[in-house]
Formats: sequence, structure tokens, C-alpha cells
Amino acid sequence: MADRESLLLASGQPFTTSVARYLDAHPEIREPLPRIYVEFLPQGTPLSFIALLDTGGHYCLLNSAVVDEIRDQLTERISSVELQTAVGKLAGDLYRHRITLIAEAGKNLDLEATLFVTADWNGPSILGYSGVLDRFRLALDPWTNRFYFGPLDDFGT
Amino acid sequence: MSTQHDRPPLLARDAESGGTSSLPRSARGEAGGDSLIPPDAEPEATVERILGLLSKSHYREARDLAAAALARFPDHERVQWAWDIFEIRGKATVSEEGPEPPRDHEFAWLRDPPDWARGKWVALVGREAVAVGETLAEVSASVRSQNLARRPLVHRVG
Repeated sequence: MADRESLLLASGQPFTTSVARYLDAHPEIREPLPRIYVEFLPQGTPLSFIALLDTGGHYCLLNSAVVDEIRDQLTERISSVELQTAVGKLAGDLYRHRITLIAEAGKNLDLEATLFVTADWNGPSILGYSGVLDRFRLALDPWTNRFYFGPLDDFGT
Repeated sequence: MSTQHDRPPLLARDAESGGTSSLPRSARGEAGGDSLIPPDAEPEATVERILGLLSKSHYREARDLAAAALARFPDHERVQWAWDIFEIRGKATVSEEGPEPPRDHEFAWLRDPPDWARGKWVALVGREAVAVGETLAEVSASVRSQNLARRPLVHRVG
């Protein structure tokens, strides 16, 4: 049954199942424009963090200290890659790893994400489109700073 | 009939026409998907091509090739593994856990942190800093030694 915070399709089926508030500015980066930072939990630590939602980005790019926190949990390596970022090219490895989006209404969402692991990234953690955001439904309400999310489910196929 | 690689329709008109597929057009044979893979190609070599494209961040080309490879070698384990890098369905599942209390207090604290927190990693539960350290490892060790009722939100204050 749909939670009262679910977004529904015209058919009545849920488009998203959960919701959380987001920060619209990074606490330590004085950015001229608002951005969207959400809470997430990487598998292998009791700590949750905030990450930038970046539809123009690739993969889940974690701050190197967060990588160190979960390093012994990274077991499913995919391949080595070079990634072009705003600060230049980074070399690293892709891994499959679970992250969890934390809900304040509805249930949390577990996500098999593609992580880009490098020791050279000390900026904010980023949830990019390929390998992360393309794996669940999401919607934003800028009026209330709410982030709606839910799994990709069949509806009618 | 849909296959495990079909995705739900994005628009109602897609549903009326039988839905869409998550396989790129080229891989569905609509735009010469076979041309991506030579007739005599071996599946292992094709997987290496996919990984080679991925290593150079040619994500869409790698995805198209993986989809074409899956169409050509549907039962090959490594090809299935390679396609799974790009597969988007079934990767998100609703957890048994949640909901959790809102982070309003933590977010408010992070927007205006006290001076003593500058340059430090801080673990917050509400407005309370339950662990502070020069490194994330110190904070993690401190949090793990406490029996906290709630998972802290951790951040390095600039």
C-alpha cells in the first residue's frame, strides 16, 4: 500500500515510495547556485553522509576518507577507469557496492550502485546519473526541499 | 512478451504500442546493432572491448556494445556480467528499514557550524556532536564504541 508521502501515477500505482528532505547548499563550499545534497548510507559503516545529486555526473564518487571507511567491504571490482571531472582526470576503479537512501517517510531504499573509487577525490561525495540515479525513480519539490524516491517497478509491461 | 531486459514504458503512448525496451536501438536490430560486433567475434574479446570503452569513460558506447553482445551471446556468463554493469532494473529495492527521524537539526547545525568544528570530522545526532575528530577514522571508532540510539550523520566541516 502506498505511503501517504508516495507520489502516485494516474493509475494509482506509486511512482515513488519514500521521501526525505535535502540540503540545498553544501556546508563548506560557498557555491553561487543552490544544489541538492541528500543523506545516504554506504554499506559497511554505521555512519551516514551527505552527497550531491548530480544528473550530469557518473557513478557514485565518494570522498577518499569515506572510501577508506568502507574499503574492506569493496569486493566486487568491475574494472579500472579514467573519469573526467570538474577538477581534471581521475584514475580509479569501478566497484559494485550497496548504498542506502535514508527516508523520513516511507522505507529506506537499498541500491546496488556503481562506485568510482579513487584516493584522489577529497571533494564532496557525489551520486551521479550513470550507475546510481538511473536505477531508481526520483522527484524533487524545491518548495519544501523534499526528495522523493522509489524503485523502478513494472507498471503494465 | 517482455523479457528481463525490457523496461517499463516511459509514456502512456509507449504502453499502448507495446512498451519500450531498455536495450539501445542499435542492439535491438533497428539500427544495425549487429554491426557493432563482427560476425566472427568471440564473446570474451567482446567483453574486453566493453571494458576498454568503459575504462575511457565511453559509457554509452560501452552500454550499446554490451547490449549488442547480450543479444548475440545471450547465454555467455561474462557477457551477462558485462551487461549487468549497465542494467538499471532490479538494482533498487525497498528496505525493511525506515522511516527515520528528519535531519532538520543536523542540517541546521551544518549550515552554521561553531568555530571549534572547523576542519574537523563531526558526527551529529540532532544538534549534538556525538563524536569529533581530525580524521573520519577517529570519528568512526568513537561512534562504534558508543551505543547510540540513532545513526549519526557525519561530515567534515570546512
